[in-house]
Amino acid sequence: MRSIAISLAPFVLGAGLAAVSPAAAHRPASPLQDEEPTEQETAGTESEAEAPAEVEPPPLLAIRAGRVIVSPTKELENATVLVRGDVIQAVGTDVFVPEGTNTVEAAVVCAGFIDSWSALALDTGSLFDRRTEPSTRSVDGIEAFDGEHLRLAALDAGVTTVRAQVGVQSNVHGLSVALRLFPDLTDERAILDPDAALAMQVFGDDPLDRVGNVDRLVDQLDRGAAYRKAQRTYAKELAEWEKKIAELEEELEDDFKKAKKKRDEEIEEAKEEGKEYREERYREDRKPRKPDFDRNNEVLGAVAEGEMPFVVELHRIPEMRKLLARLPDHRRARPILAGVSDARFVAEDLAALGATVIVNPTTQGQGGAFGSNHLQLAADLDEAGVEVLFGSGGRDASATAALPLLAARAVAHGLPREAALHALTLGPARALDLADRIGSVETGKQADLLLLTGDPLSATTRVEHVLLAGEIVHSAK
Amino acid sequence: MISTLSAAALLLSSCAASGQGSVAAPLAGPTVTGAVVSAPLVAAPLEASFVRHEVVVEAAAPAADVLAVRAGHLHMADGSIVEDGVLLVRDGLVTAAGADVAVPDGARVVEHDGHVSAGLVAAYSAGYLPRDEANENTRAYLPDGRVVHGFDPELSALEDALEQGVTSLLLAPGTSQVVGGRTAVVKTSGGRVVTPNAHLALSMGAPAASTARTPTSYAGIVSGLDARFADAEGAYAEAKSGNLGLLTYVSARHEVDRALRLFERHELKGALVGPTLAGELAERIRASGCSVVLPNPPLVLDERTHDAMAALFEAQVPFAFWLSDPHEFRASAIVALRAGATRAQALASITSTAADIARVGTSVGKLLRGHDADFVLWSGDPLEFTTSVEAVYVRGELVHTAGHHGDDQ
Repeated sequence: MRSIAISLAPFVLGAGLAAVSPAAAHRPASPLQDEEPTEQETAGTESEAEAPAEVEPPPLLAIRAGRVIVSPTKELENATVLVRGDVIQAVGTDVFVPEGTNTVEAAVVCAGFIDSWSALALDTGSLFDRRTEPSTRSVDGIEAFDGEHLRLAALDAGVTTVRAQVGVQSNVHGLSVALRLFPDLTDERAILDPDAALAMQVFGDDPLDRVGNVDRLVDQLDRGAAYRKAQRTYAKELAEWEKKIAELEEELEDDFKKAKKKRDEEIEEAKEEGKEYREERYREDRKPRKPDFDRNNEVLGAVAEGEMPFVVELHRIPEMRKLLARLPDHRRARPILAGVSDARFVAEDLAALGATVIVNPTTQGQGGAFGSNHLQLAADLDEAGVEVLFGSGGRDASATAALPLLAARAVAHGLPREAALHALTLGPARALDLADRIGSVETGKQADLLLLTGDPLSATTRVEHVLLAGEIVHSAK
Repeated sequence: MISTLSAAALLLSSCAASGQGSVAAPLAGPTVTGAVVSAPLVAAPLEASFVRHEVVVEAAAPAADVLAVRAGHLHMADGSIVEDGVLLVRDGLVTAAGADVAVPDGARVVEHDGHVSAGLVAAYSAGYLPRDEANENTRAYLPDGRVVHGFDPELSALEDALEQGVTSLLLAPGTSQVVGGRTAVVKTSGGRVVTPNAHLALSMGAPAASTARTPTSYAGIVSGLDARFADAEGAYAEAKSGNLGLLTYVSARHEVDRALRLFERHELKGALVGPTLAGELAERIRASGCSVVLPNPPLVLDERTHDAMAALFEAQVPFAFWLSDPHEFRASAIVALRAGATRAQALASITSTAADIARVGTSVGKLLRGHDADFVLWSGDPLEFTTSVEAVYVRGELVHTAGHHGDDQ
């Protein structure tokens, strides 16, 4: 939903001239800054180049790798990733690296993995809360201190970002938080997006219950859409009313006497006719009434209008068909279907909708009626043209660390390697509106990177170092 | 001890000493010459009671009976991998395997770009007997019970295991009997019994101490076993002499300790089945000559489990994995590899070492002359999660191909 705009170009030029050696980092950042001090003080943008002259430029880090997996479908051999501060500044086979730059070697570099359905870093009580609402925020349920070993295990496995969601025992879970797994979770950089998506789940003991539940969930979207419409209508009517009032006041100012005389005449006329004179000028009583603020409808409205994606967990055919039938009423909404155990029976419909799904890649069927193997499910859905993301199921915080291994197992069931990597990186980043910042090794994105000893899907590969925001936050023992 | 008898009897050596159960079909056509070469004792402690022999066979059969598999990567019995290796099969047995093996004219040839290994062997299994068959918990001591009588070759679980590359597995009595009877090793396809009498199965785990019958405590368990092994008769004597193997279910670390001390008192050794943290007693297990069959570990190990497994590997204790969910069986070997086992140790834990622990190491689990031609064609390195089964052969017959079952080529 947000983007971080950092204008690098002028700064890079200036810093390049200055930061030839580490010692040079302590000199003023750019000759340009010295020349125009006043403009910097008043400029007030986020660009480093216009910061006060005493601030050092963030350090450069060069990563030289035998293999850089830029994205699931693009790789470079014997390439360099240049990181400036928290951002990837350059990626390529002939990147200029200034002498004296801090350099790290790696066999393989790729983007950090994303668990798009996680229970990590959440307070247990909040995780299993039954009474959450659309506006309940997972960011308020973060457990920053306990459970550190689980987060470290996740980092060890290469998972750098998770979508964490509280309230999994409720029908509507609330707003998910996109978290970066800094070992110190109180680091402000840890919260990538406090409100990344709305999440909900289809409940019910039997198909009728669940189908009815789908209706009730989509009805909530209807209400959100209506709320937004009411707000737009209000805004329009308010503008008209204010315009009218302004016109009348202007009239009154222009010729007070004339207006008063006209009014007196109208009052007389009305008296003669026996009618009541209705004051029309200041239509305070006609002022449009502002719709009541409803924090839940605020969220539902944003979802209905596609400003925020929403994740729906559902498993069986009747409710999936029902959801597919009702979604066309909300063409702007961006649904992500999670779990989808029996989805192989509705795969074509999902593909036709352009659906994105989150599969929890386990060897057991969960929630489905046909005991299907979810490793197979990922392969089947991908083959049918459905976009597959991977998530660890949102209930067991220890499951995040196994996700990359399970992705490798899905390959054994027929999922192409590129699809497996996509399901762990670029796919979730795009689906959660985070692709401007994470998900691939590209210029301008955050340096959330894995330095690996080998292919990311190989069982014997180890994560040597994890970088978050350009900083090495975890290394293999 | 196995004495040097005729070669024919040697072929039967992997089967019941009493001569029961089905045996390997006699080699059709070629006559087995009497030349028997006695190989030096193999280093592994388990082999101490066996002497490996090479059977020299005259090739008198027509070459069309020969199946030749050309493998991009052939996994040999000693743990090495031969690039562009050849495996020759005739009459259900391996006749040659390795680098410089000539393919006879007229042989049927199977080309496989990927990896070929011996069929996977499970040194212990749970869930491959009819329901409740392993649940004989009214009698604590049943030394002559034979679990092979409960074997149902039609059980669908066997087919699931076959599809994951498992060709032989050990059937064991339940863990709620102190002495459950005799284990058996069977094939997952074709109903063949490799041996109906592999080990005497004991349980010194918590389930063996029942509230419904004696013994009701660990002390009772030990007391009962001490008495039976002291003046050993029947099955207990056979286990003591080594004619019959010994397989003991233990789970907690203290149960391992208790078992080791019992073994020491009666000069016993065998397979310890079930102790996840056995590695914490690795040196003692090694010294005792015992082997370990581990439960399937989770994909991501906690520190304690990881360290215990690493200690076990480093101490070179022979280890294997038990089979319950077939999808987790090969994964267990990969987890072992990630925890510090060598590639050879990891693959052996589901093939050759498992076969040795199951007391059928002279007939299954290795691509070696004279062994059953049970092998798997893999899409890649069998120690990678991304690899899948492409085809499974049992006794030289194609019994499974990925996507369909039992089609002939």
